[in-house]
Amino acid sequence: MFCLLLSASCKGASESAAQVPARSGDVWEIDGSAGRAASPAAMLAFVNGMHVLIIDGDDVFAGTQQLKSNRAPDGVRTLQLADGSSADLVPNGETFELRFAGGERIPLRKQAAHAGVSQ
Amino acid sequence: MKAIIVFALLLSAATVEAQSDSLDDRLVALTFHKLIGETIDLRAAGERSPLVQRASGFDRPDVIKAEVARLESDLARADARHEFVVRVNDNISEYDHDRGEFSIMLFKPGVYIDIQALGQQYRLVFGNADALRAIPFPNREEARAFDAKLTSAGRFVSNEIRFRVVGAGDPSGSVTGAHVVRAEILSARLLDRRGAVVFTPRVSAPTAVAEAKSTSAEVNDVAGLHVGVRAKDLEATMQRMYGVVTHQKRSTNWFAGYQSALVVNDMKCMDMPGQRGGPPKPGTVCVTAWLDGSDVVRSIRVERVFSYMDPETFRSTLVKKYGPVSSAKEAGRYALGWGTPVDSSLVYDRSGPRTSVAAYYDASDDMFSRSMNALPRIRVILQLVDAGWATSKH
Repeated sequence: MFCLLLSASCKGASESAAQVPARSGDVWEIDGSAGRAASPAAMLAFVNGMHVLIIDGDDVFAGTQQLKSNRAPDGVRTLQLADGSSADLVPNGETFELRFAGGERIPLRKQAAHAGVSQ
Repeated sequence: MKAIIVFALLLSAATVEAQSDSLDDRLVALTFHKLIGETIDLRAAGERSPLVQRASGFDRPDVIKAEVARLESDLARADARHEFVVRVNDNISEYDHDRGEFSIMLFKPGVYIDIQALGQQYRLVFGNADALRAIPFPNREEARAFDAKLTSAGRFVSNEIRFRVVGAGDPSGSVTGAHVVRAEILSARLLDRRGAVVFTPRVSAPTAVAEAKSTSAEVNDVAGLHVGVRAKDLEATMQRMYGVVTHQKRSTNWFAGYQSALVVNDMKCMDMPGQRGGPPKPGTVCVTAWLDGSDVVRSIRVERVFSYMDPETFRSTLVKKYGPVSSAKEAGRYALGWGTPVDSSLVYDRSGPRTSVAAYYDASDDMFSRSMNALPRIRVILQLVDAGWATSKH
């Protein structure tokens, strides 16, 4: 509604998109080298927009949505998904592992910079 | 009649012949056509009947006439409330120690009863089969005794199912084809060779005769990307997560309401002969977002290239996300659809589902994969159309 009142350019927009940070935080993606055993987790991550994540402190973005997250004392972040389920971001050294409630898991790796885009 | 249990193309093939004369297959087919409102050419169906095929040339016109009259009569009495009974030879899986249960093969996703009627093939699937699939035995000693009993009988049972025809299509998305008959199990029991009851699956309260389950008309994102948002917000996300965004102007073959598009990695997820840089690598992501005249995102297509992934992983993950499938196709690529029907100009592949949400499983078939006998890469394509907006544009 904010958009409708202030800008003619967004006339008709009815959904709100999370404002992803332009530079801060890091972009992470599922690690494709995890092998076939990780393919259920890879597919699950993709359909939920979590195949590529921006992690900026306690803020986690998946596609145009900001995921609600709670960080436990051991550093594990529990992310709430739109369908009511959850997934854990588990620190693993310098990286993370994404673990879904159904047991599917896949490591994440930091995304290399895209050609022509400054990260 | 000869009904046969068959695994869908996606799963490993297994065929088991049903017990003969246990199902009025013609009435199943006619009930299906009547229920979904699909016109059937009774004259052509009559001409294909075995009686007509066996008739002499002299008698054939009269036999056709009688056969068509019989079909018309059967169609008139076809009623969605009719309860059918079929008996099929089935088997029971080995014990699953993790889940503490056995499984009934017929009730697994991808298994259907093959019916030949009216001169064509029908695939009979049970929409509530998954709820009846398990034979729970949490107690291992009881499971062991049950297993021994099954082993002595070669694990084969006769599955007697009472059902009603409720619509078209397989809600699990596993079984595709021109005539997929969706039925609902009212009761079932597994019998041994002597006719003694081995197990009686528990059927929850049946739904109404008409197909009651609505699909996910309210879906507004694919792969976390939403329609109905401002283009500049989506562009910032695409740029940060997926790469350089290019702007495309309206093309003549686009849907009338689209004015421009935001694109990342245009066509770089597709396998094309001789393409620069070689075939797409696993992990490549491609996004196209179509915008209306007010720069609002009205449709999104997201593609990702995976190392090999089996179609069952694709299917089961999407069903978990979007619920029962409203349309499943397998014409070149495996495709599933959900949500509201949309105009064919809005869908990615016109031979696939014409629904507001669609997912495609596309296996690469390049010369390198074939020559190395390697598993193909898989391109998964998700597309979402803002159906409410699209309807208003017609």
